[in-house]
Amino acid sequence: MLRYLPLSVFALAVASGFMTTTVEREVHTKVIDSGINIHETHASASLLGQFRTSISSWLWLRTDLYLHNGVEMRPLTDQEVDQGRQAATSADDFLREGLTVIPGAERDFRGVFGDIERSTHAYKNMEGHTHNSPLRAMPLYRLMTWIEPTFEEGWRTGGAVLGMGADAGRADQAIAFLTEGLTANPQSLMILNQLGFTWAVRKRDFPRAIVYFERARSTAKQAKNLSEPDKESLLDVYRWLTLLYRETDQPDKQAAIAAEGLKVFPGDVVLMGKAAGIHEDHGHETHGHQQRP
Amino acid sequence: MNKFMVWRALARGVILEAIRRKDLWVVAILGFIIVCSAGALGFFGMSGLESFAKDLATTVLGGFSTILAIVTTGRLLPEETRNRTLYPLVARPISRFDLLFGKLLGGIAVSWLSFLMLCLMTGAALAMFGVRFELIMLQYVLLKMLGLVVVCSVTLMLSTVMTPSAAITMSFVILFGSAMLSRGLLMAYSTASPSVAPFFQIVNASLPQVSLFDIGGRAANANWGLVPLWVVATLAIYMACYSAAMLAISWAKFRRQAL
Repeated sequence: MLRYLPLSVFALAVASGFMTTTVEREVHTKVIDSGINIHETHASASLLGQFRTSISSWLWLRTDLYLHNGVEMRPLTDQEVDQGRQAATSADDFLREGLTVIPGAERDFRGVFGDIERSTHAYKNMEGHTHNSPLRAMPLYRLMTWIEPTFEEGWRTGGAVLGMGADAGRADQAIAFLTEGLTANPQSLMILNQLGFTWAVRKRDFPRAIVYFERARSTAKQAKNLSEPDKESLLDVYRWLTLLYRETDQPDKQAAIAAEGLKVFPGDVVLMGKAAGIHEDHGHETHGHQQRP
Repeated sequence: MNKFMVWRALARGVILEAIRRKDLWVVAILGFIIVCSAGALGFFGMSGLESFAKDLATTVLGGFSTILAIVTTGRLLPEETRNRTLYPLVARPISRFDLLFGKLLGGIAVSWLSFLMLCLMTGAALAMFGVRFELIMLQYVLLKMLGLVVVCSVTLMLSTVMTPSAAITMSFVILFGSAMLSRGLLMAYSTASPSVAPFFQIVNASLPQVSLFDIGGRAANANWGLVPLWVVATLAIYMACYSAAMLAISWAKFRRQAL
């Protein structure tokens, strides 16, 4: 009987291994978006470099680094903001993106050590800087979402990067990628929003886009608490829905969605504009001057 | 026996001991992990991912080689004392400085050997994916080897003033944390008054600047040129001065140490 003991123990080990899949969702918790963005919002996070617990988060931070060809950036500290310092602007979108982690010679107390660091590390003056193509980082998005399937931001940004450009085939790839992400995160407003956007803008298939935006809307209604990124996605969902119902000539639904959106996001200028547009359109209709895009 | 022969014999002893203890097997296993990880990376497609592959390679190389250098050098003297093999050594007509210097040379040789072995395996993994060799990679290897000298000398100094475990732990903290502290000083200085600059300079200069020897960021990303020669020469001088200072502190402690 003892002869079979090692085999039995091994079988037990394998069985317990299968059992772990049932607790995986609980143990392997969702990547918190606010944690991911800490490098973009908190200058002190630059001190820790990219020492993070999650490989996906590390890969996420690397994509930003490759976008800047290796030059590490950091946001301004509160004191720097108070002193009126300005962040470097990008030439692509004129957004102020922060300062280089390695300071320029004029702000470096280290003398020759500073000169050496600027010569041995990836450093350049980033005022009016350009970016590398985000497509170069696409395999990283695949890798990070494979390692961490609950990493919604990775799916969303990867989908956006894949869908860039006029190539229709790329839009299909983006949809396939995002659909895979949606299978792993069926309640994700972020992914649903990006899928809707891709169908609407890249594929110009408005009814399909509406399906995803409506699914996001009903998911949000059932959710108890929405995170900040989810709230941002939901705002986009309401904006897109009002626009798409206008494009598909459904003014009643457009009005209802705009009103509902304004209840959730009171004072949103875009939704208010869309709501005002409905009344304007109706006014025109009354006078027989229908103006539809 | 002239000094050079003494130092060579001591360094050779350290290398043989590392081989006997199968330390280099660790390097081989780490190399195997690198190659396997690279294979996994290839699964996701390497097109456009050369920067990431090189970045990963330099990060892994930098981390593993520093860890190996610290662990190897940190136990050189304590193990000799614990195994009582230090007594026959000091009974010979060699000074304690010779003993320290020979051991340091041995530690550096083992660290370099491990680093070069890792470089070969990483190079093979990169070549597998068709990553083009660039001259800056050679410069990376050279500067990293100079940086490992600083790592070994700091660890040896700490091992003469602390217990082996404390010395290794402190070496990790100082050598991996110095870049972070330096960065913190820079951020603090950006809003500080210029009058405090000397204080920042003294604190910064007393830290081992090992991160300056790591040009992985330039080697990994495209279109960065070679590091100028004056920088390489300055780093070589810095390495010599800082290591000499660490050796002098070690000797000052070790020569008065009762065995």
